[in-house]
Amino acid sequence: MKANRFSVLILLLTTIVGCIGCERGITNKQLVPGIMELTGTLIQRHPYLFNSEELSDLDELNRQLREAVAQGKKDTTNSLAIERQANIENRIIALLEQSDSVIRVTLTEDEVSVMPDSSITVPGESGALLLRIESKGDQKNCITSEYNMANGDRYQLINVNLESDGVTWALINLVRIPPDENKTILLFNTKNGKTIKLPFAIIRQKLGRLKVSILSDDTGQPAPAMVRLIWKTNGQDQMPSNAIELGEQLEHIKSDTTKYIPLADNGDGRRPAFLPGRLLGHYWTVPAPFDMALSPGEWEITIRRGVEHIPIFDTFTVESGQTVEKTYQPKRWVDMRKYGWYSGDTHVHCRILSDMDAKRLMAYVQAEDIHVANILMMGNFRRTYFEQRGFGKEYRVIDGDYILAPGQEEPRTFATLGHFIGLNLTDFVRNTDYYFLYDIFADIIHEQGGLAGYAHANSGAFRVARDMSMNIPKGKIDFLEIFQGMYLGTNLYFDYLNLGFKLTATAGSDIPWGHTIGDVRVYAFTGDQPFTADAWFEAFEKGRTFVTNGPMLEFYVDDALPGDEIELTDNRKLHVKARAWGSPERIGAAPKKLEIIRHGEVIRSINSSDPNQEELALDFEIDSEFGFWITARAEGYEGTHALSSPIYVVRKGLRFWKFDEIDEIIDRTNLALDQVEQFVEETRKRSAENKLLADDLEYKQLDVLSAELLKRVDTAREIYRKLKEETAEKEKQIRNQR
Amino acid sequence: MNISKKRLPLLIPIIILFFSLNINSVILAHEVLKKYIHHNIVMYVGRNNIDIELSLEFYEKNSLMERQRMDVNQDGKITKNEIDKYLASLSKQFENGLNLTIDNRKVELFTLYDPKIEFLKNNLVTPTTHIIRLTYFARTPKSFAAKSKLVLEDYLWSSIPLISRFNVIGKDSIHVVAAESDSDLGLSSESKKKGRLFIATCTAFPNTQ
Repeated sequence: MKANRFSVLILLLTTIVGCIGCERGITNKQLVPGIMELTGTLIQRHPYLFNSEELSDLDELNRQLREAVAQGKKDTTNSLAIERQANIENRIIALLEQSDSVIRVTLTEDEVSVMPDSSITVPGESGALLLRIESKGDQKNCITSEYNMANGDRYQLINVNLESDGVTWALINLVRIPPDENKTILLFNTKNGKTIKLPFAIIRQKLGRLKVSILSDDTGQPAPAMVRLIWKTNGQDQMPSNAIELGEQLEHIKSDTTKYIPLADNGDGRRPAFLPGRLLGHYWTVPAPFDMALSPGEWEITIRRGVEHIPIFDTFTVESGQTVEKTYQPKRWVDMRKYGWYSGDTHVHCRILSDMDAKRLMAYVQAEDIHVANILMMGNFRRTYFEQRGFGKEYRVIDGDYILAPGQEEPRTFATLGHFIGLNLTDFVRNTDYYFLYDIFADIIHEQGGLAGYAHANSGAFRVARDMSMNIPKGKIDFLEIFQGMYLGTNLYFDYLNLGFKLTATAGSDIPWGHTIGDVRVYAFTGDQPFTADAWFEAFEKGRTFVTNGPMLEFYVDDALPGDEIELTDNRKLHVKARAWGSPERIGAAPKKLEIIRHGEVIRSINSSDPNQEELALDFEIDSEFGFWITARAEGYEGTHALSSPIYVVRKGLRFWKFDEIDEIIDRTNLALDQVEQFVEETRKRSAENKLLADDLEYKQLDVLSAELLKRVDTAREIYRKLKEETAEKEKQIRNQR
Repeated sequence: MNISKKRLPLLIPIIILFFSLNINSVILAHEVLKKYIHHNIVMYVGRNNIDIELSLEFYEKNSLMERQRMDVNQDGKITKNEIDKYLASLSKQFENGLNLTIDNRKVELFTLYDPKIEFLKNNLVTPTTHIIRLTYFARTPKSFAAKSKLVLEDYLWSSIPLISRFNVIGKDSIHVVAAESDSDLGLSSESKKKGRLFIATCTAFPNTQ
């Protein structure tokens, strides 16, 4: 009750002062310099300086001021707008005047006095000094500056540069404040060149303590999880005490070598997660319960365990000298293992040279709930990255039903042929003598029992379409990475399916360049057999996969699963069944649309307009006609997607291709082959004219391999020619007969 | 060839640009996406206000070009004063950079806080990365209700291809979901030179009574 009366009194006072300000505003139209920056910084970085009502008032006044300024800009002769602006500014100052957080400094010729005290207590590692500095004169001014207390040596000298006489409101953002009492000197540098010193103590509040346990929904035991911990006082996130630091293993890849990562500084354990809605932000891997000292105040915790769990959002208050204990158990909304589907990420870069490296990465993989993480050693023509202890089964790291399996992203060329991935390898494949002949890499990978495919096929990055045009028709390629970041890209994928080549759909995060392991994931169907890495790769090889970053998918034609082939001698009806589902409690999982795609075209779809609807299903019959590939695609709320690998319906004597469009598609693949010829010719020419520089090592090798590469172009052209002129012609007759 | 001292400062950025464009592509990771500007938009929809946070992340050449604009004295370093001037010079572009319509009616957007630039610890005129952070707000219209459709048009640096992310977050028990967002990342990445669309829908707007 008392508080209410007090609030009413403040509001009344604010309004009265505001009205007085209004009168002054008419006569004095000069606005207070710096007031918008100061107000914005107070709201954004130091809300703790105000109680909730003051903060709400300040927020509203900031908005009103911005509106008034915009109106004033539109019509500079609008005296009402200027009056309104001045009125609001005065109300902001009146609100500041009322705040208990203000340190009042009075400067005379050579003296300084301070009220209420020459010390202040700040809530934690960051805080602020909000100073009202009065000297002779009637001007008003606002200044905002920053002082990093880690930078000072023995003497912490904080400069306050006064740009005018009268009243200056100075907001000094303090960062990295040491514990206990800090004896500083405030140096008031006046307009006329004088410096007046004020000894001032900055005291950091005694810390509180937080104990957090995160339990598995499966076992009830502590489990790794992804955690974001934010101090509401300044909105900054804090590293949990036992969070895993991955910087060394991720080779400290930083934003200056990452060109498209929206959340910068991604080469360490603080993982940027570009997830929908409130899930967006940076997270740390927390491997076990943690116990840590924290600045007092309100804290917000977000806990994630991959896409199959419902995230937890919680806020709590830590009191100085007190302990808060919290236990969380993120609930599953689905357990895909029960349906025989196990998640994977086929594009993870991380060094593993020791048991500790493996342990740290395993905790991260478990926190994101990815069952098969393919850890890719990587290279370019000049060197390799993300070294592994070894390859093959003996170097798999297994903890329960979580597996780290070594693989490679190699070769990688940037302006020529794209990036190549090998999974489930027994040895790293690298030879710069044939670096531009990806088919040789594919052959060796297959000899090892591994799987070969292309990275970044979703975006076509690094000219990957060129190598695809040579090696997919030769049957060298098992999979395409069609989902990465937030982009499910199917143009290239659908082109090759439409030419009648079977390819498995996969998804890879590409950390550390990507965001977080499993942000997009591939599920492989291992069925009833016990889950092992071999079973997972076997399913993957068969194409029994779907990719997703939200909704789950189920897709059948008759009894066939994704990757399966239905062989038919005659036209008959086929039973298509698809289901997309997801919990609205897991942001982005609930399906908005489910589509059936045949030969790249949507033939049936169903939409939901209710984000709380958990499931969409389609169940219908189609004719097998001359055969086709067919798949299911789901779109979730918040821009999420899922896509199944296709089911292939094959009529005897016919390809499952998109017969009517093969000319156009082959034109596109021939265009990619033309480009290969062009860059080979350019390189040859530069070499002949001695224009290759000493450090153009790659291009010198390309020149050496140019004849071999052109042979491969010719072979691919011949395959396409035969498809077009022979196979298609032959099929034309069969199709006409039927 | 003699280059006068007067001309030398003018040549520095050109030399830097020349070398930056001729860096052997093999040593750079994932460089193909450098031509994009990343537009990361988060929209908070509340009962009284709709707040928009937009970060524009510039990479490599795009970052270099903007840094050159900032570096007025061409000494290769960007000072706070130069940043302030650069931001001031763009204020009109920022103010007109976004358009918001709700149920086909234009809603006026205002700046919420002063624009900020983050240089990621590198304030030199080099081809690296920097982020511009912008904030806007609009007053939630009285007519706003469940099924209201919010369409945000983004005209900022519209001649340069974008990759984007659009998150929408409801406040005050309002539920909103992102429906669509534009992106130029695909096989044809021609710049569109028009506003890019980001669409969200209100799915629940509880009655206060």
